Amino acid sequence: MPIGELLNSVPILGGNIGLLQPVFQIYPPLVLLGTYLAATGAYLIAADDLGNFVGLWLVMTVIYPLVLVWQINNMDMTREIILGYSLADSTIALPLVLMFLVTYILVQSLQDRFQEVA
Amino acid sequence: MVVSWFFDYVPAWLAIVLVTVGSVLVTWGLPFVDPDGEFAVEAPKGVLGALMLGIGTGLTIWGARGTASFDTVVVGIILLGSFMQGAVAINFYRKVYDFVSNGSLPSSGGFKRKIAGHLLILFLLLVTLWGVIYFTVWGGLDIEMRDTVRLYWTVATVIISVVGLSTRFWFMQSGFPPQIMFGGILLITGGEIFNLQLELELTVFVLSHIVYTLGFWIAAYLFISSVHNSNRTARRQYARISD
Repeated sequence: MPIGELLNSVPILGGNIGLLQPVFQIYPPLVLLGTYLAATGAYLIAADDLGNFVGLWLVMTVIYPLVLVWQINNMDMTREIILGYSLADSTIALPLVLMFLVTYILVQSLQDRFQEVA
Repeated sequence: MVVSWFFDYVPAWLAIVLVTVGSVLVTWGLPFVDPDGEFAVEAPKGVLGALMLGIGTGLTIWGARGTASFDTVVVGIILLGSFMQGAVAINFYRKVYDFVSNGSLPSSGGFKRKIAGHLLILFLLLVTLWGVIYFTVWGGLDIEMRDTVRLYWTVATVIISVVGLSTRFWFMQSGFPPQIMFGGILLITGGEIFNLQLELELTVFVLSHIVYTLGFWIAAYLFISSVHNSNRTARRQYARISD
């Protein structure tokens, strides 16, 4: 079986879950899976204890998908919000946040480096 | 960059692979920026979290490659790369300051490393050139001459970019986790070989020069204020000793 066909047979990757069909039209399945994993990782890093982590993770796993489905079915996700970008374009938020963090770290690191030298 | 106005880099997926791998590496490095700091991750919880965060970021970027807004990510990466290159360009002036204030020549180790770096670039370029010629003539590759030239140009751009950025960012290695440094290099290289539309390429060309200048002047300000603070501290210490 070709790899593409094999991947598409997995429900979330193939985007073939009836309820989630409208969601996948806005957000590609891999983006949703990636964001979910990234958020879980971020919670693991940030949470002080297990209870804190489980609470955040449950909200993201149980409540947020329902909110997302409601949002996509009831809101115009492609309507421009700012500078030509709509809610559907929020797929780029995670990489952009990452880039801002890298820039911040670079500037801090440069400052430390110069202070060492001076 | 100017050459890419006229033809696209091939294979197109290479840029996305570099951007994805670079993002994963950068993300893995983020929680380790300051191992003694308040936000340092705890093992095993934090390490597992960092791994998941990295893989999740990679999947998000790979999954978003087909969306219309992915160009924004690439433009952001190119601008970030320009900013970083502008900022580290101040390192030359730092060396001059070192020379003037300490009266010492740049270390022979650094000079030797630079020569070795340039020789390595030359060597890699020659190996790539001969490799492409070999595969074109005897390798039985069924690709047209135009594609061969584009492939060669892509490989050469990647090699030059990786080696060039590595030598420029090398002095930052003590402040940066290696994952962020090498991830950043792959990220910027991926952004450079991503095929954008001509209008966007032209806009990015102009913007990247502005951002480069901004990065340079911000780093210059940081450097000058560091030197200024250092001189003031030295004067105070001298005055205290004199009293």
